[in-house]
Amino acid sequence: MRVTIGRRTAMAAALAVVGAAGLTATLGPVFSPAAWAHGPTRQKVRESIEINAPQDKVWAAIRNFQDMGWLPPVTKTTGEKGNEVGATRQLTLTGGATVDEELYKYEPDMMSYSYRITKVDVKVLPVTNYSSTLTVSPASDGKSKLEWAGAFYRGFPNNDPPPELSDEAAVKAVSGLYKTGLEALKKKIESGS
Amino acid sequence: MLVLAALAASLCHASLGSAAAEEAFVTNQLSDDLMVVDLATSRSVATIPIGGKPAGVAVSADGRFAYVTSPDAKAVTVVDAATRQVTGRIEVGGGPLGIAVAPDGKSVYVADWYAAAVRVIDAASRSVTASIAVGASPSGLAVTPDGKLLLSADRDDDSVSVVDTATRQRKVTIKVGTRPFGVTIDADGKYAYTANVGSDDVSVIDIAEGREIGRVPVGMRPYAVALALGRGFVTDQYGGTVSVFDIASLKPIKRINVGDYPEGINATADGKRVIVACWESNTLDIIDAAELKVIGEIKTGDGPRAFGAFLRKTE
Repeated sequence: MRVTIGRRTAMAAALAVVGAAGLTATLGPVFSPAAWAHGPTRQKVRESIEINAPQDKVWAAIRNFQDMGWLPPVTKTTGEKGNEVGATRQLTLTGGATVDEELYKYEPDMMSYSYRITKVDVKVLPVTNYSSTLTVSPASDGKSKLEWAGAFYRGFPNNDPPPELSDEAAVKAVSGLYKTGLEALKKKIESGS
Repeated sequence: MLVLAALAASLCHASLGSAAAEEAFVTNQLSDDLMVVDLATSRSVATIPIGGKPAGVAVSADGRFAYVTSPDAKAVTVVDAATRQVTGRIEVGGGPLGIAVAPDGKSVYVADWYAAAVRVIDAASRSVTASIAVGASPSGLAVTPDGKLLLSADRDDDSVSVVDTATRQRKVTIKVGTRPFGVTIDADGKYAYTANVGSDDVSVIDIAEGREIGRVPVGMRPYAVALALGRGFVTDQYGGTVSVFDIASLKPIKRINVGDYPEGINATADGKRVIVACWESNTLDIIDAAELKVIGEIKTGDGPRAFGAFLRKTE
């Protein structure tokens, strides 16, 4: 146990030094299959919100994969192939960072679609191998339930992650993002805009 | 209510008989435990705290022990399968993930996800006694029925290592599809099947010839393969399906809808059922291997993975 703690401290110290030189750039060559490498434990986040509107209306607000303008940090969406499986999009966030995503399941009858992130800097969203699904379902009194579920690994692909790239940090970031997005959509739809 | 009761009764009845006297040992990674499901009654009969985010599991052929990997704890936990008690914990270091037990039960092989190595545990002394060099990010492991060869799916090298268990040296490296994860050997020890996460297909390996002889397209992000009644059953994580293919012709037959993010998959000893751990929906789905449909579902803990040989015969 003592050995483990010692190693963790040493790793954190090494990362602090690396951090000054630019985390991504320096670690890049060491973990070269960065897009694929991942930690040992996939995390899940599931958030939902009740919206006082019919399902069709909620679905209409999210169904265009080429427009994620409803998510507050997104300032621009550009992409190809519309809502076809395999469609791609690039989100530009406030501050200029980008996220590349690909649609892999689109089920309008179920009012549901799934996509994955193909490229993101862990400094923007501390996750890897991220996939998520948005689904509209009925709620009581003619209301709708909008659910956002994600599955992903932490930002650090190896053992003993630094705190900002840990499992907990990943869950916190994604959960916060989902809540922000769902709240914004509820507000937008219920205000009729 | 009556309808529900009748339905529940019929579901139970469906699983009685054929899958009797078998248990599933399922690693619930996010709830940090190992649950035991009696397949005859489709009920959870025990939950054993493990810790360290358990992922891989291997039940010994004699059914006495379940060995569980905990990558976060860098350890392997030994569970007495009959009494459901933790009887040992072996510090292995690194990132233990895939695990397999030799048919004679004397050696336990543990893949170190971070180290391009497989650790050898001596089951009697419960200590690491050797290390075998394999390819990058070894994940799934399987041993041939005669115990002579160990196969390691080396995910980040897109290959499978074939290791001589007597000399503990890699004999052959076989190129397969992209990012092989689970590897399964058939009952004759002749062919092996890898689920290739990156290329959405299954590679078929002729073990004696040491080469890939075929490729079967499956659903998105396949995880592992089970074999039953002349068919391969493959969990498609992103697809939420189990892809079924014919082993003789290597032709796809069907995709069966199961829970979300299906992962660990095994066939019962009689080949009549295929058991699937669904990571996202927290269920263990039971497939009728002849009818090719889901006939039962059992609630699990959070994040079931059951990566390895997780079924145990009790008779």
